[in-house]
Amino acid sequence: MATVNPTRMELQRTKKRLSTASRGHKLLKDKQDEMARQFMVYIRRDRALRREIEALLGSAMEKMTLAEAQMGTAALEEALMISASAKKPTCGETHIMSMKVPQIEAAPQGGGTISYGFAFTSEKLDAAYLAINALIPKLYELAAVEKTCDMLSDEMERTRRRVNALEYVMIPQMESTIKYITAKLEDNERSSTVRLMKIKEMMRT
Amino acid sequence: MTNAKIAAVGRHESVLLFSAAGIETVFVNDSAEALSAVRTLVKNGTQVIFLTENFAAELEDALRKYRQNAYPIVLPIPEKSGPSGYSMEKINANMEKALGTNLFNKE
Repeated sequence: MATVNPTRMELQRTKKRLSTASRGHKLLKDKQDEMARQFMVYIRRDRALRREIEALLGSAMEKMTLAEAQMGTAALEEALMISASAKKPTCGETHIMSMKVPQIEAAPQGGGTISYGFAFTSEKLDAAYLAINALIPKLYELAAVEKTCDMLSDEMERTRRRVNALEYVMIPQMESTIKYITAKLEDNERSSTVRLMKIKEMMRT
Repeated sequence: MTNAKIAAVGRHESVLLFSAAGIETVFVNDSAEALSAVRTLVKNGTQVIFLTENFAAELEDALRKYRQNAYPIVLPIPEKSGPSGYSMEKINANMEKALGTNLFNKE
């Protein structure tokens, strides 16, 4: 604290910095509020989707295992070769508070049509196939939403740190510097006035 | 907007299902294999990777760097044996990190 030079220039500079800091603080506070609002929307969606998928994915996996047990791995892989060319979703980005977050649009799946022959496949495979294809758009959405939540929570933590640093460290520090400099300057002024009065008295006698 | 590269990484019985949806599947047996699989996939430009929860939990530290950017997304999915609660835990952790408290506790 006592390391600054108590000069007018320093005072002016510190005042300028203080006004910048408090403006930044206000902006960051606003950012924090808006992010919290957005975050709530995403985290709710995240939880709902996660619940749904946790409930459904296990049973779909179960069906697939049954299909594999009935048909054998090789036959199963052969049957699924065609679906390897299934439509892929498109991955894009959208912005939240100037952060790039993922956005995935699932391509329209073939409306539940089955792309393999029925002759050598088990009906268990049909069930698994339909189950996973119904789930896939949800999985993509969950991927995007959960990533957004991850990124938002990291960013919010960073913002909170910054806000706190400004509020509890930077701003009080600058305020006390300003106080110190003003006090010192006033002190100097008083002492020079006194000195002048003294000299004037000496000259008169 | 580009067509996405998607992959699923996990034990055979858990990710076999994804091949029915036209998703590239990588079968792994332990977390070291899973990590190297994820790394290769990311290097090849895969945007979304479904990774089973048990591996995601074990590799949490190694996968943390993928949190920063929009892509790649490494999404933990439940195993065949059922959800382990890891993903829900993660959602709650995010919540606490973001807001300082968990608002869902009371629900």
